[in-house]
Amino acid sequence: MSIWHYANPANFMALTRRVVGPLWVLAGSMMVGGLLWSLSVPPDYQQGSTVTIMFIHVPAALLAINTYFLMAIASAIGLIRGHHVSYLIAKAAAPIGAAFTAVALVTGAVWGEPMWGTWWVWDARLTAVLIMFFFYLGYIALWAAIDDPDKAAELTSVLCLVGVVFSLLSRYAVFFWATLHQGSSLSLAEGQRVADAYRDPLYFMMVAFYVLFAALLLTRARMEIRRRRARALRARAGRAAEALEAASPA
Amino acid sequence: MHIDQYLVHVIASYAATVVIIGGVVLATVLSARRARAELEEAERLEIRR
Repeated sequence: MSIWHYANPANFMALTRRVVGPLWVLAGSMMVGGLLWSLSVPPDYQQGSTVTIMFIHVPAALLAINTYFLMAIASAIGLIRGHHVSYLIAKAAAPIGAAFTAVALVTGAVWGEPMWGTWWVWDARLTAVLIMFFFYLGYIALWAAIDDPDKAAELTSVLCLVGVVFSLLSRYAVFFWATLHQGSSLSLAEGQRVADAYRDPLYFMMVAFYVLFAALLLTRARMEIRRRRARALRARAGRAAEALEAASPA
Repeated sequence: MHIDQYLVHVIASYAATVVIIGGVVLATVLSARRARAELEEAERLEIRR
């Protein structure tokens, strides 16, 4: 069966109905377990207890960037193939990505104050993430501002694709410029850069954030499909009522 | 949890995360319920018509 089978809203709803409930249970358990685990690690010899901020900052930043990539891919598929489910997945992902970006920015600032001596610096990576956050907000605002859902889907997709450059910069700025922000904590190419005591809870929290993201995304995508269906039914009822009124003798 | 002079920063980070992520989760659950109710209402009207 082709993946495009699930671009049909009815097939998508049927598939995800069985998955959403267990995903929420798994996400809740993993988030609670992960938070407790991350608060129980020993302090770092240089950073003290602030090292525990890493367990939320790194997964949140990772998801902030990857959610934008997912939105861009869904938007591109929507523009090329015209699948409404693709547009709706991008729309559903935007508030989640904005929330993870906000978490990354806030926890980064709170971590930066004691470690760097400043809450904020106009560093390439930080600035790119802030601009990406504004793209998230702009994308959400544009969807809300346009009444015609088809036109809104196309225009927001174009906006999303324009913003991809900032999600790329958010990820790769530390390789292009000498920034205050450190390089990647986890790198397949350069091996382990995190002490063993911190590596396992960090991986666990990354998986927990991804599971939470999946639960939120599927719930929001199902919600958007239902809203679209309800809007279509109301529009059809409205047209039928108008036709009936026009046909009835004065 | 280790207690040192950075305790306030750690608590602030975790509290902000819980508020932001919790807010999105709550908004998602409430919006999903409303969308389901809207669709059921629209389908009832459609059947009646």
